[in-house]
Formats: sequence, C-alpha cells, structure tokens
Amino acid sequence: MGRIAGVTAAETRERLLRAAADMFAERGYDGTRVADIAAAAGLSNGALYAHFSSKAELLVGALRAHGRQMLAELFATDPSRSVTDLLLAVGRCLPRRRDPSGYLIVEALVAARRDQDVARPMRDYMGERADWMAGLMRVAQAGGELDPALSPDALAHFCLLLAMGSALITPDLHAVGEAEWADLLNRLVTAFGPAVIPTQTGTTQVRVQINHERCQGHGRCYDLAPSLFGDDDEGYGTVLGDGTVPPGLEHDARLAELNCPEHAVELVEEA
Amino acid sequence: MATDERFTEENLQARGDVPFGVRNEIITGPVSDWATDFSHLEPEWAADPYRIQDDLRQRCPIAHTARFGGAWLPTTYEDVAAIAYDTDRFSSRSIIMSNFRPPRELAPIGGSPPISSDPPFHRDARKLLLPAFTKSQIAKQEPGTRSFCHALIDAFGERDVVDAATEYAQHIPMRVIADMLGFPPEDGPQFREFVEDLLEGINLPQDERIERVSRMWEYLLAQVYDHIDRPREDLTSYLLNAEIYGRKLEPGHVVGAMALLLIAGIDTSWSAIGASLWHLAKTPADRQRLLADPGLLPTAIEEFLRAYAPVTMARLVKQDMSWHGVEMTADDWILLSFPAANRDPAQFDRADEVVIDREVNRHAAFGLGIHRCLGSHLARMELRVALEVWLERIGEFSLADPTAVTWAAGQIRGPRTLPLRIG
Repeated sequence: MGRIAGVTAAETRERLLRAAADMFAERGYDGTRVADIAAAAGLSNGALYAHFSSKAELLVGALRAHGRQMLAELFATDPSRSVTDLLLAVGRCLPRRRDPSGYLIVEALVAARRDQDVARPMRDYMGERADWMAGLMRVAQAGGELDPALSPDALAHFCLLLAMGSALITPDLHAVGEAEWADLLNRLVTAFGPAVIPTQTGTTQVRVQINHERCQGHGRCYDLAPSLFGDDDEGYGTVLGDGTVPPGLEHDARLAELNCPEHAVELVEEA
Repeated sequence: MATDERFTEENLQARGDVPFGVRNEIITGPVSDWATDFSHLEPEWAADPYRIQDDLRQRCPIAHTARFGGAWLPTTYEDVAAIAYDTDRFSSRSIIMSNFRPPRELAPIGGSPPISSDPPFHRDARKLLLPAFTKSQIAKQEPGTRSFCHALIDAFGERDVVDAATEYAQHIPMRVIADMLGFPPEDGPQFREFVEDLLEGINLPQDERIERVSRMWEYLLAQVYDHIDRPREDLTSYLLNAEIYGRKLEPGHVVGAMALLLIAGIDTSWSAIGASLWHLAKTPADRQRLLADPGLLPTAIEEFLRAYAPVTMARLVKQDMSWHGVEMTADDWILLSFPAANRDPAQFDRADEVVIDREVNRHAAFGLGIHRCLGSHLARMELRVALEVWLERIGEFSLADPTAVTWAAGQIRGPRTLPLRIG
C-alpha cells in the first residue's frame, strides 16, 4: 500500500486519527493494535510510524482531534454568547448518551492510569483544557457573570470533573431527570455569580460598615466607592450616612470590600 | 536671629549618651544557596528577585542567611502579613536591614519615627503626620505635580531616546517632597545621594556608612536652622512646632521624621513610576489598551503596585522563639518582602502575570497593619499623574536597549537606568 497518490501528509494524518478514534472508542486502548489502525486507514505499519511514533501518541492525538469538546465548539460558533449560558447548555447535555468518540476520554484516562507513555501527554492535554476553561471563567468574571472572588482555576477544575464524571457514569448505569438536573445547574450558576446584593426593594438591605480596629487608612474604599465611603482628618475610612447600599452601587460596595488590604470593609445584610 | 533651645550645638551634643548598637562582620559575594545564604544586595537579586522568591516560596518558605548578623526571609503572603501585624514579637526599631543593629533602648521610638517606632509611641508619632497626608491634602499637590511632569517632558526636546528613570521618574517625587518639606527644589541631586547612601550603601565599611549618613543629618540640620529663622507653611516648620505628650518633639524626632519623609518619599515613588513605564515600554498590548481606555489606569496602577511593589521593610525579632517552623533568635532580622507577598499564588490568581484589569487586588505594596505607608495617597497621586502625563504626551515608546536597564539592589527596587525610545 504505502502512500496514496495525491494525498497530502496532513490528510493521511487526519485519516489515521479518525481510524484511531473509532478503533480506540470501540475496543479500548489495550484491545487495539497499531496494525489495526494502520489497516483501517489503508496504510502500512511503516507508513503509520512515519506520522506517529507510538500508540500513546495516536490515542492522545485522536482525543485532541475527535474527543468531545462541546464547550469549545459552542464558544467558537458564538463567542458573544454569555459564558454562563454556554456552561448551562453544555451542562444540560452531560447526562445524555454520547456518540462513541465521546467516550474516547474514558479510554485515555484509564490508559493513563497504567501507562506512563499515555500519562505524560494526557497531563498536557488536561492542563491545556483546564487552562482554556480557566480563561473562559476569567472572561465570565470580567463580564460580571461569575464572582471575581472565586478562583478561575478551581472553577475550571470543577467543570472538568463534571465533564469527565459524566463520561464515566453513562445513562445506562445511572440516570437523572433532565429537568431536575437543569434546575440544579441553574442554582449552581447563581451561587457562583457575583454576590447578588438585595436592595431596599427586597426583604433585606445591605449596608457597608468599617471595622475601625482593622482600618489603617489605605483608602481603597473611598477610592473605589466614593459614594459610600469618605475619610476622616487622618485618612481613615468612614461610612457615609447609614451605609445603606442604594441600587446600582452593589458592585462598588463589593469592590471596596474585596480590595481592602486589611479586611476592614464589611457588607452586612439586614432583614 | 530666632533660636530654638533644642537645636543649639550644646544641647545636640548632650544627646550623645545613647548606648551603642551591635555591628557584625560584613559578608558580601555570590550567594551559595538562596535558602540558606540569601542577600538582597547581590546583582542576581537586583536583576530578578521574583524568580528567587518564587523558588523559595515553594521549597522553604522562610529562607535564612548568616549575612547581616543573621536574617530571615519569609516569602508567603500569610507569613509576611502575620509579621506585619505582630508588633509584640517583631520590632520596627530599625527597618533597613544592615550590618548594624541599633540598641534595644532605641525602641519604641527608633531613629525616624513613626516608621521606626513600636506601640504605644508609634500611634502618637503617626498621628502627628497623618493629617498632612490624607487624600484631600495630597490633592492640593496634584496641579503642581502635573505641570512639573509636563516641564520634564518639554525638556526632552527633540531627542528620540531619553532615560525615563533619571530624566523623569526620579524628579517627580523629589520635587513634590522638597516642596512639602520646604527644601530648595534645586537640592534634588543631593537627595538622590542621600537615598543611595542610606538604602543602597548597606555593605559599605561602617565608618564610611556613618560618614555618609551624617552628611544627610548635616543637611537636614541646616534646613532646621533655616526654618527656625524663617518659619513657613511646610512640614519642617510643622514638625518644629508640633507637640507630643504636651512637649515639643525631641530634636532627634524632628530630624528623624524629616529624614523619613525625604527618603521614603523619593526612592519609592521613583521606583514605582519607573517600573510601570518599563512594563508599558515592553508590553505594547497593555500600553495600547491604556491609551485607548485611560479610565482603566487606576486599576492598572494597583496591578503595577502589586507586581512591582518597590518596598521591602525590615523588622528585628524581639526574643528567641519558634516561629512558623523556624528557630528565631532575638535580634535576628526579618526581611519583610511585600513584593514576595504580592506574588504568592495562594493569595493571587495568576500571581506572576501582570493583569492590568485585575479588579480584585488586595495587594500589600503599602504594607499591612499599623505601619501602612503614610505616603500611600501621595504615591498613588504621583504615580497616576506621572503615567497620565507620559501617556498623553509620549504615547508610543519602547525599550531602547533592554540590556541597558539597571535596577536598584536593596530594599527599594526600581529601574535606575531606563533608556526609552519615544515617539
């Protein structure tokens, strides 16, 4: 067989990865021989090794090329869509059955447990996915969708756990009601959102206060939220009026709290 | 000619009965292992202390050195904060780590109150100065600072390469603090020498060091006499008239506080302005973003302060103790690195990156606890005005020669040579 006339190296590579993805998903890492992949792609073993040096490389390559990456795909289709919306859309699909290449990740994770040759590239792969995800979280934080106080890395890790876990616990093993699952996700996203500060219109009010034992006069509160804070003759922070946070100033209040180096600014909720 | 009994030669000499401090052997030269032999005066540290601190944070996290007569270097935010807050066990009687420990009897006042003071004296000494450094008082200096920045840029003329450290950053805080203290503005070059003598000449032979420090003392005394003769509306006259516990200040307190305001007011802001310009010169994306969105500047400034915090302080351990896993001995130094705290990944997300729109930024560039930098509002004003004017006037700039940039060694870090290609 050998090289098929008129086919570029990139095309050959792509055909190999496609064959590898199908084969690994069907038979698992241990159950697949390199020769089977070469045969399925219509190539000799020698020709395969011109493109990939090991079975491990084929596995992770197949995962990168054909593993499920719903979030990245949805994001690419519509980068302007809100991040929490994207996360919810993907999250709702998690408990559903996947096409076979959606389970490629399971084979790769299992193989990585046993085989150092797989573990090394898998660490890189997971690291890249986590970084990409953390970047998305930062976008959401900058856009006020997620609480900037949460670690983007921790959020990304949490999402990865959900995605990987859903590949392991298939609907055959255990199922969950779609509506119940969607409700739960909505609650989670709300909990990860910026602290929603109820205002006078609700049943609770939020007030800012300063712990004067802690305040050292850094002035971050009156820099960032000059409508809520002032300073005294020595530069220590003071609360203007009774400290009630009017509508529209919730974000300023929160910034003042989160940027005080001495943790002297506090937000209190009152019934 | 007016007189002030406190400052007659007789009375000044009568104060000479202060107990001696302790001197130790001066150790210099290459560091063998940063965990056990660190020195903030070696060129590697000056070039890039962050890499060293990041490494130590992972493997110590409190480093030690036998240099300076014994010192510790905590590198996590948590440890730095704990020491800053613990004035019971860590004294501020000297805040510049050197080969000389002032006598314990110097506490709680120290040589340059209030930065060198411990409670309870600290609070009263600080109270004297706070009103002059509030945000609204400092705002009065802003128009003058702004026009001075413009004048500095006017002086660049048609040149396309300028040294932003020596021709711009350095002069701004010098002029402002000279103005506040009522010193002649043309004395700027001397101030720079004082700064270098005090903060960078740490490992010079003691006699030379004493001689250099006394040069500043003589200069400050001359300013005192000038103000006794001609009292003015400035901080020097204010200190001469100020009272604590119903009495005028001791002469050492007056001159020590003047020294503090002069030294702490210059080197620090100069470093912060220089480091910010250095960052913007080598990071076109951030520069473009600030040019397009000047409203982001205050947020970016906080990030420059975090990532390039210029100031490291020192403390002296009060008594032998086990502290966070290390055995500290009385009179050991602590090199209290706010820059290291500011790059602790446990405290800051993407700690080693400069993220100019970082909204939540609880950095410790101005210290934590009772010694929060007195001049923080002044520094923020100077930094903001210096960058606003520079971005408005220069806009496009880059490092003319990255290898020509030099950084100060020691406790205050910032560029001392910064050739920029402008326009």
